[in-house]
Amino acid sequence: MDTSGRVFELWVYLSTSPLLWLTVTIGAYIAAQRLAAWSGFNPIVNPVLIAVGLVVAILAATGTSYSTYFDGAQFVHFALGPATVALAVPLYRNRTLIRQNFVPVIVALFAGSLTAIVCATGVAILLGAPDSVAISLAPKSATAGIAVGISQQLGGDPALTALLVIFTGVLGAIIVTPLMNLLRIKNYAARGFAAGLTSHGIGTARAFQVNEIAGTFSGLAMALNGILTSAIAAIVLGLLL
Amino acid sequence: MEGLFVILVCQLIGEIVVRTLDLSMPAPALGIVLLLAYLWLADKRTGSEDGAAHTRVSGVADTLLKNLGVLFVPLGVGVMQNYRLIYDYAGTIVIAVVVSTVVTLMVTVGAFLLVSRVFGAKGAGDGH
Repeated sequence: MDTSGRVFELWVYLSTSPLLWLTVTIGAYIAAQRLAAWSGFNPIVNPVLIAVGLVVAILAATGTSYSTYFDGAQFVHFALGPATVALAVPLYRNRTLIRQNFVPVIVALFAGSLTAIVCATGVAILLGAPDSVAISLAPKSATAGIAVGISQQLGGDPALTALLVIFTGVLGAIIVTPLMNLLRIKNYAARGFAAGLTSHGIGTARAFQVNEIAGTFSGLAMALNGILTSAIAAIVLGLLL
Repeated sequence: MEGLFVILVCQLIGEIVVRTLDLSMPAPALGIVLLLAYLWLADKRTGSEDGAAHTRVSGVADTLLKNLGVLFVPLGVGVMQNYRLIYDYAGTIVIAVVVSTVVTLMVTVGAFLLVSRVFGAKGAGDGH
């Protein structure tokens, strides 16, 4: 057999093996992280978005189906569940902070969580989007592991929700600092809490760049909003749709 | 290893409860509550603040959370399967996300500040 025949045979074997696509997923993310670091961690250069784009381009170029890709990528995907459960640890670590700011935290949590669901779903319904799109939008301020689960259970499109979660995260991370400066808000606990509630992990990463207190409150808001959104999304959607 | 086991058990119990009671809530969300309860009860029992239970779990938890970004990639790639949905409703989706992101940021920060101020003012008056 000639060399190109051998290479082809090897490709046919590797392109359907989980190992290749697991490696590609992690490799794409590392490359995207380097790019983000190189940009000075500009929120527009989001590593998740870049890694998704890279993988989609590779799959399209090689004619690989999503189900073949997912056979490998599922090992990374699986860890999303335990990683979501792990949010309890920073929450527990900062319990004194919650106790000290209990009333503002709880009020802002309920106000923000409801606003996020009602606003996104309401705008979509007003503009004539089908229910599946409106449902996919509803949990988008919650962290991905929870948002995708909600979308799946309520009849949305989990993959669309995943992208909307990232989009909301990136957008919030970009606008939070200029918006808060414009509103002349100097309370970094309040600023961080809004960032984490609206833009989950991506907002929290941004908040930690700006201010340590903002980052801690942002992480707190992310975990609390994940729990609350999962508890109320079905009820709110029932009233809206 | 023990930390990972505790996290997985919390998720597993969450999964069992959600499926048995037919709750419309993702199992990991319930898992967060269970892990919180575990940490709180375990530290309470040993009488130590941030004691053994927290140390056991925090290593694995911090590693998972530090690499949260890469865990979204397989889901995000899934969008290529139904790009038509995004293509058909791109305008609606962008408007809904932009409006709700700006409004949610403002409502959350507004609620937090308002309540802090009301309680701050009351506290200052009482403290006299």
